[in-house]
Amino acid sequence: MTRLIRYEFYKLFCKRSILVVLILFSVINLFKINNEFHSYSYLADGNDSRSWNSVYWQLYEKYRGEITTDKINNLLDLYQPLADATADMTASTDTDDPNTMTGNIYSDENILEKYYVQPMEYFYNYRTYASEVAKKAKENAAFYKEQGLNFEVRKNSVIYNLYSGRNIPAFAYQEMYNYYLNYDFSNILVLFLCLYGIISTFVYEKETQMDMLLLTNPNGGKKTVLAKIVAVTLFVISVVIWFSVLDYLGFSFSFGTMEGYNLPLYAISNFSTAAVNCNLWQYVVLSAITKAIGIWTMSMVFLLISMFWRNALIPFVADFGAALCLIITGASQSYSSNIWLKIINPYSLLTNRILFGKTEFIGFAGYPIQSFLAAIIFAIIVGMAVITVMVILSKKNCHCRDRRIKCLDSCTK
Amino acid sequence: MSGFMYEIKKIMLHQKGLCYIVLVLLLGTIWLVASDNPYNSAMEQYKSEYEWYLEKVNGYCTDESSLYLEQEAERIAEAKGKKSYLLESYYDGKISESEYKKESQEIENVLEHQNGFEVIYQQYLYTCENAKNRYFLQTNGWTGLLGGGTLNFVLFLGILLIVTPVFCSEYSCQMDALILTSKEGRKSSLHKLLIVISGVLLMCVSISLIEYGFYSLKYGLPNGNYPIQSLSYFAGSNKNITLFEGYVYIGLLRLFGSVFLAILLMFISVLAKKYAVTLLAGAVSVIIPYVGLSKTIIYRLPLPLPFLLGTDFFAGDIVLSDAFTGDEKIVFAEINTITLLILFSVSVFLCILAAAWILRSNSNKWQMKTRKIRNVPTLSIILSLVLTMTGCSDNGKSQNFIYNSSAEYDCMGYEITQDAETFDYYLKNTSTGEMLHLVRSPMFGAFSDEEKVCAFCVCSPYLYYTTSVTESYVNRIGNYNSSTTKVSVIELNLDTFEEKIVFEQITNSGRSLFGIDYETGDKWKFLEFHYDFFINDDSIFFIGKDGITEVNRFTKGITKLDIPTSGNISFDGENIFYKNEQSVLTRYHVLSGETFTYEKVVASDFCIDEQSIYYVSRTDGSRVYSCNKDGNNKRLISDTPAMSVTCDAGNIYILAKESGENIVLSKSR
Repeated sequence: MTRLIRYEFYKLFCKRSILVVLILFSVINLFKINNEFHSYSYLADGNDSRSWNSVYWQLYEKYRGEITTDKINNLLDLYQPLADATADMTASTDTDDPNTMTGNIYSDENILEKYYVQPMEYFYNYRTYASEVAKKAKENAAFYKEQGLNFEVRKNSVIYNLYSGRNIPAFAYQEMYNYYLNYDFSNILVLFLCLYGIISTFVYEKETQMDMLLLTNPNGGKKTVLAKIVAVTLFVISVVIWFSVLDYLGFSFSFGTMEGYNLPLYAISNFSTAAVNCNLWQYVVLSAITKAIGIWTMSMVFLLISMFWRNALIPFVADFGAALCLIITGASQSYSSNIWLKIINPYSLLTNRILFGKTEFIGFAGYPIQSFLAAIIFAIIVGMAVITVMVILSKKNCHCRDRRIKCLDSCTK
Repeated sequence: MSGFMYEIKKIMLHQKGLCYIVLVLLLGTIWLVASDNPYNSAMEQYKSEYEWYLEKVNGYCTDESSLYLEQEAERIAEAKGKKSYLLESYYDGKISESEYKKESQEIENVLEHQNGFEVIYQQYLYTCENAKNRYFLQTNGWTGLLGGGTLNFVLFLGILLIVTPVFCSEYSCQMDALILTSKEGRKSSLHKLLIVISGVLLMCVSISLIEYGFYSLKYGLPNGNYPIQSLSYFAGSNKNITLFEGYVYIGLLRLFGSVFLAILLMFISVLAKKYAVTLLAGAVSVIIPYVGLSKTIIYRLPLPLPFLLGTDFFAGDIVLSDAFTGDEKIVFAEINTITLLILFSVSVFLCILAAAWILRSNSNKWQMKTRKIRNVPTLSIILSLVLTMTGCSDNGKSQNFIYNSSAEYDCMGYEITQDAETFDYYLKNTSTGEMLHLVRSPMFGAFSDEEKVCAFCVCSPYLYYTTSVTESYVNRIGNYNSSTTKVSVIELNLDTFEEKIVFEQITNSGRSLFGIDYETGDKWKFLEFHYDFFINDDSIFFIGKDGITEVNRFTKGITKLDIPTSGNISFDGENIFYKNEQSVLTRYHVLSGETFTYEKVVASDFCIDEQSIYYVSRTDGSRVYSCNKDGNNKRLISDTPAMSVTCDAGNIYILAKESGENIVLSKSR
């Protein structure tokens, strides 16, 4: 079986056209990531000594690491006079003021506010906010216990456990991770590549009528179908891993740093109510795994659709249309409070910040299940169900002697 | 039958080309009807009032029309002031009924079209910015027809379905070589090319005509000879064209874009000879730049995409100010006519080259040389795809109930209080004094100031409240639609304290999907400004300063009710009670839409309970009366002149006019 899988993998995916598309998409992805940096980061203003980029990294050495009262006071001593001077908008607008870091007093105030004061304030206050949530959850749990609502009791207990002890002890650069976690473009590329890769899985043999011939082989029929499914799974996982690594490295190179990888996920303000307590680098791995599951499920559906056609036209357009529908409905429902809609759509697993960014639950037999967990379980169940359908629908091979005789009999009749 | 007819039969019937064309037109029309929203909903809502003013100022903004609108604005402001004064004078007995009627008739004449005036005045402010090329006209039809500029996905998929099999089907069964050996075979590719182009043209022209017909019927498309700058979407455009010309040019560009895409697909299919590669290349050449590149770059690429979009070839610069630094950034740079012509010429040249290649590759002469250049297809596809990426580095359970907007909330033994420091809302148990958080989610408002409670409505045993949550992701211009505001209606069961979201809606008109910005119209904007609401099984009624908006809970259909919201609003589950502009108590039946005026009840304030209406009589020295809901059985409740009256299950509360004292009267008395 292993050999069969290997053969199928080589046959289906080790093709020059797939390699070309992979390289091409990787280059496009890197260009796009670089474009994200230049379009959105205020630090993409060059390496001039008065650029925000230079000023930021000069100050960074001073404020990075554990947040201490000294650092906060020091930062406020630097920032407060600037804030006071610019409050009434009457300060000098000169762009070559020698008494400033960036050449302009407003610019100094802006860089300090955006890159140091706001994040440090958020980091510093997070512990208080999280303990408030934990306290409210504890109160809720006690209240609902009186009301006899077990689901709510359990849910609030989970929230309590999740939020109690949350703390951001150290200050670090997190802008790169903010853009990285909001980056979706590579998902489109992965979808296209997987669609192209797997569309030929069954169609290729049907076009050349090899499917009939395979049924005469001992390893033909269901065994071949299973080998194809495993090969597709391996291909899909490889593609997702490749693009996840590429995304991370691309962002690191474009932004020029990997700093902040040890920060907790909730250090990114959009993830303040994150469903998991993990570091950013752990989340990068978790995100890649979740994406792989989402893409795998979608790929299995694509594969099932392609089973019924003799050429790639209808399956490609149908799969492409289905993917578009999932993307559009998934994106439009990403702000919805209807958690089931997010769970049943594998697109949520691709742009998994929808699931990991918020602490949301669904009830199952009176027990609360976090949305990301439910989505993963649902996707795996759907994927396995589709595989079962494919195996059931695939033709059996006629190698079996009795069956072959029956076949021959029927043919001669 | 000639070879041409055989090709038509093959493409249109055997390859289901005709079926796909019909399907595209059908689905395209359904999508158009289902997804359309007026760009300016007020213009549609107050259409007749707006048209009344439009007749007077239609066209170029002259000094006369400018003066007329300014004077009209003054007249309306004066009339509004005079109206309330007149009403006060009449109820105070300073003027007689005949005098009041005579003068109020004059005022009503002035205010008859005031809602439409608001719309036309906004348009006037827009035209004033550049009176030379901005005219007064009904804009919803033309904005729907020309604006937006989003990709027609149905058409795109249709082209993929029709064009891809034209050559690929021949290659998959190796019929291509056989065709070339026949007498008519050499002409086969030319026939295919002509049939496909004709089919695509037919599809595009039909879609353009359907769109024209739809917008013409729904909103009207008048004054096609007015400058395109009359629409705010084209405000900064330097192109001197009319609206109708704009429609024709955009239509022609889309036509060319579709033909370009068809030729590109055929070119790739001839090169690659495989379905999968052709489909992938076709999809990637459109979707990747659409999702990955900025509009400025897209409209400078010799690809089908800019032509398929078309609209922004005629739009002006879009400059946005960075909210943080104050710097201005061009998010879209206008395409001047020369650039457009160069781009068009290059694209036409590419189409001719591709067509020539298709024809050449299907001639016997070419077949002899084919072996030498086997790798050209792959290289050509790579080259065409690299072209795409080069720009990247550049840049229901509620029962009938009684609602009084001015009354305190009677929450089944709970009182809603707000913490003065944290601004959090609490439910205070009136008997035990126990304080409970109103919003049950522990995370709500903990990390953001943009999560807030807006309004309440009690419908025993449920307490409904609305929340507004604003989320912002990549907060920088260029991605300005990344900020969204969501308004939700949450149902809290006061018996069990279970929560459920019964309605939610994003209010922003601008949305973004994978970086593609699009407009959805301003129909939900009112949610951001609601300050109160009430609910029944079918609808939610949001109260704002400009009136009440009814939202169907199931279809999300919106109806704007012509009910003034200056005084108390009451609701008994079926009827909305309010004071009309003459302070006469009026009842509106929400299902039938019928209005009943209580002619004898002129109230400065009122409230209702299950059986009765309590009101402060405006015509009888501000004394408090009660009557049945049909207006009969009028009874004096209190002869102390009152400012206001409210009630709950057991008592009537009166605020005395002179002493400012709160008087509590038991209903049982």
